[in-house]
Amino acid sequence: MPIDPDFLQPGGALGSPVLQRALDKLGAPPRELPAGTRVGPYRIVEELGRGGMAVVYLAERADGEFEQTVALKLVRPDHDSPLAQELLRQERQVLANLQHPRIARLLDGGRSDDGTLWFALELVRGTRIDRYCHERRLALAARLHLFTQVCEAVQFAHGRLLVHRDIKPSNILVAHDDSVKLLDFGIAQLLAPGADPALTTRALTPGYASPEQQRGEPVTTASDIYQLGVLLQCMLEVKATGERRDATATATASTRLSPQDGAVKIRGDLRISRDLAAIIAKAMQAQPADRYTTAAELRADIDNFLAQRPVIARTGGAAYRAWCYAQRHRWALAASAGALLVFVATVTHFTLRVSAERDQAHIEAEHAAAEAKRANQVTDFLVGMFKVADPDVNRGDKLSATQILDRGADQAAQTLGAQPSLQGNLLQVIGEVYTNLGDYPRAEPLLRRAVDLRHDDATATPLVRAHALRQLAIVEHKLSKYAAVSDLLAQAELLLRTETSNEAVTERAGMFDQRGLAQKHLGDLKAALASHEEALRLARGIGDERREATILNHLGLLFYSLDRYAEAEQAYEAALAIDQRIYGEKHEGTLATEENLAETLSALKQYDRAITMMRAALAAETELLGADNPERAATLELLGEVYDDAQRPDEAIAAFTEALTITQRTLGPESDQAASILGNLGATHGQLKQFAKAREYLEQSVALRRKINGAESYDTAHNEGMLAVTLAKAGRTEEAERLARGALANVEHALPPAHRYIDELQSDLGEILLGARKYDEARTLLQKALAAEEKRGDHSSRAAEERRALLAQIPANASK
Amino acid sequence: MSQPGEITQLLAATRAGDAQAWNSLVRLIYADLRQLAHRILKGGGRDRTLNTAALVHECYLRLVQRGEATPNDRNHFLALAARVMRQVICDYARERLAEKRGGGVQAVTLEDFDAREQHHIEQFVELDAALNDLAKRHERQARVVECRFFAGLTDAETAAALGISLRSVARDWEAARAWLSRDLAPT
Repeated sequence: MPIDPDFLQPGGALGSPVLQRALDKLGAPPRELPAGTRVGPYRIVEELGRGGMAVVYLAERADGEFEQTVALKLVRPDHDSPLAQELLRQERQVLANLQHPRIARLLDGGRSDDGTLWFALELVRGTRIDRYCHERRLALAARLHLFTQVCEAVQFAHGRLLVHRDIKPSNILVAHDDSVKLLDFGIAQLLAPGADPALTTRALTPGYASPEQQRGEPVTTASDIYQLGVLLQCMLEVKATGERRDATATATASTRLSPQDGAVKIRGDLRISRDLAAIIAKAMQAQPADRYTTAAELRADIDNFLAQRPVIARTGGAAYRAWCYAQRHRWALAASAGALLVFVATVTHFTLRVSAERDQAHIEAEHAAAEAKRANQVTDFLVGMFKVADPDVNRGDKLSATQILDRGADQAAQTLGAQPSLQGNLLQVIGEVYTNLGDYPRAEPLLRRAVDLRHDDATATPLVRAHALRQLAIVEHKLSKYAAVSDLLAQAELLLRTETSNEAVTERAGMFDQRGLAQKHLGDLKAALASHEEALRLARGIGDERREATILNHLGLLFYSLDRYAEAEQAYEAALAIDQRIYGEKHEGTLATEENLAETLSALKQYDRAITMMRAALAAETELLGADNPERAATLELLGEVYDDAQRPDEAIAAFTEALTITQRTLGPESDQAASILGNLGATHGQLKQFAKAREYLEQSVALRRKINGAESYDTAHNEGMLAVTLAKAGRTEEAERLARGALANVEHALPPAHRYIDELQSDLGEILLGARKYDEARTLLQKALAAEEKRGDHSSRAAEERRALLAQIPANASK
Repeated sequence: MSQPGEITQLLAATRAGDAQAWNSLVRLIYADLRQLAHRILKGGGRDRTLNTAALVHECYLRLVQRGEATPNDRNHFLALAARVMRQVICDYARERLAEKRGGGVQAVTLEDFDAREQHHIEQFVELDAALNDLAKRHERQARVVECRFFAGLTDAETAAALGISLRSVARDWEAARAWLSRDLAPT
């Protein structure tokens, strides 16, 4: 495994939880006892293992009474009171009577002269339950069967009013015959009698403690239920992973569900994972009363799941919310402070350096500086948290993100009024996280407010202000408000024109790039090309490869729009090389580039390669982002276009329809993307000669286009042309002709002379005029359109065939 | 047990290449670090985030107060403490990793790690091995990494601790980082 440069930072060791662990161990040194040492009636044979607060030895009975080999656990307590001793004596008795085949028996216990507590436990040989699951690659059902054994044991103890308090994988061993043994029952309780919070905390295992344990409150059986939930989560996630991206890239294990990283992967279909998620969520509810009442009930729900009956956890409703809440809470616990506190602290600490955006699906680091990378990790972490919030990603995802972020935003608005700069930081980051999550309507007001706060904040640097403006511009772009984008970017450019730092140049590269995108959408392709090229120059000048990859993608898109496919392919291949080097194969950025390349390949008629690439990208994207995501809808639309080009209309329509549903659900009824998909649906239906349906879609599309892109944009005109043809088919010839003529004039005005849209409109108009028996003009237009297509080197394309067929319909004697 | 000036003597002997002195020194520092860590962790309660640099500095102060070291030894001490920190944390990580790979007997592992901790554990073990390799080629670069990464010393402290220029520290750090992350990249 390579050393992560992000890991190797100045003072990096200090930030690692491993240091805490190592020092914990230094702080509470367990005694080392040589073989032969007597402890109570036992004699040490050898050491089995040691941890932060205890050492376990293999020991045998030394008083000659009978032969017995035990596991002897030695713990140095932090407290020493007569009360503790008395409790220990009583509890020991109770525990000694706890006899169950799934529970390792406590045989004896005591306190040696130096105050060390010792426990003689039934010696168990086996493998930790999580490792057992992982190493044997156990199927889901097998894992759940193991888990139900644990539930049984816990239920048995609860029936005798004994709480384990420290259920975790290392306390559960599985023997070769798949039988489970639960260790250390009641020992945590013995170590912290009287529930002194300080002592309780010390006896806790971070990450496994219930919320009430974390708070140092009295612990009940409900805490064990919570820990069973955590355990189940562990057993289903098995594979330890590193950083989020590595995790997704190597997502081969059957299951993973860790709030620490962003990856969610549950074996089986969504319904199964949702049920299991709901079960875990119910077990891990923050309020003890909301959890399963008993371990038996939890076990019964697992049985329900295995028998494919509805699970209790979901019939209670609000399962998603429960899940999200548990997740959110777990995060808070892991950070051992209130979620909001951590959030605010994190945000304020990193904000000035944080800037991540999703731009053409690239989550990219803005600054090459190491600190910014670290800051990005924080954002990634936050985003990852939200993505992990529900295995059925999107609905739950949004809920969870909403809960946490809205609270953050509210808090910022309410309590930070006196600190505009802090408030600005906070709103900025929350807005950017929303942007990363694709929730642009939510991001917009926050980022707008952040821009205002920056503007009034005398301490904000030009870079900070410009960055705020650009982030808002990105969101406005996503919301199809292109005029606003230009305006914002012009302001930002003014702020940074004279700055020469790397950060400022990166920012400027981002601005030019974004401006190019807006110019393209407004139809000024020449200006867009110039902007992108300037952006590329700036990014290359400072060696900002991430930015370069993004810009190359945008350039590719532009070349594609200009029908310069070979150049587009070149740009994408260059971007892909960078993506694969810096992001790896399974990353949103890489996938986006692959999709673009696939689209270009399709234009170059390499359909099979294009479809294969596309479908792989789509699958990976579903895994990364969930099913209900606008980015995925965009991919589906592209796939539909490739199918359409490959003359597979039914598959095309299926893809478009799904894309439209997702787009409308996630971006609202009015979006550029929806207009585009509607246009595609219309075109494909048109090819199938289903004109009424085609007209319906195209009317919607044109209406949207006019609203979003403007009446004279080439995108609008393109769809108008298609609509005009369907109108003509319905006999509305005059209306069709008028529409097509206007559209043709608009594309001729907006686009370079040889653009595909122009001859498509010539062809459309020609077809309409042919129907209206205006043969001369029809012939001229169709000939021009055919020539243009042929000039592209495409004598056998569908368009060329269509145009020839139309020309053939013109009566030979109608030459005058 | 320790004589006044013991650290000073050991430091001198270590500088002269006495391996035994180094071991004694590590034991001494280790014991102090252990006590300090214990105190901080116990007293800390809520905020248990430790600052290693502060820990190392405090450790040194105690030695001075006890007369076991003189203020002049500070720089050398910092460099040594950095090595001790490395040893503490990497030994720990190695043990945990060995456990993970080892067989399962009862309670062999008494701790549970989340994904991030597991990742770090692996990184520490890798880094330790790589630093040994690096030291064979560029001893000073490895020392700089110990000071900067493991002890959290600043550039200036590192320069003083190793008796080299600030520019050398910066150069060594960058070179070592580049080498370490490249060298360890998958083939």
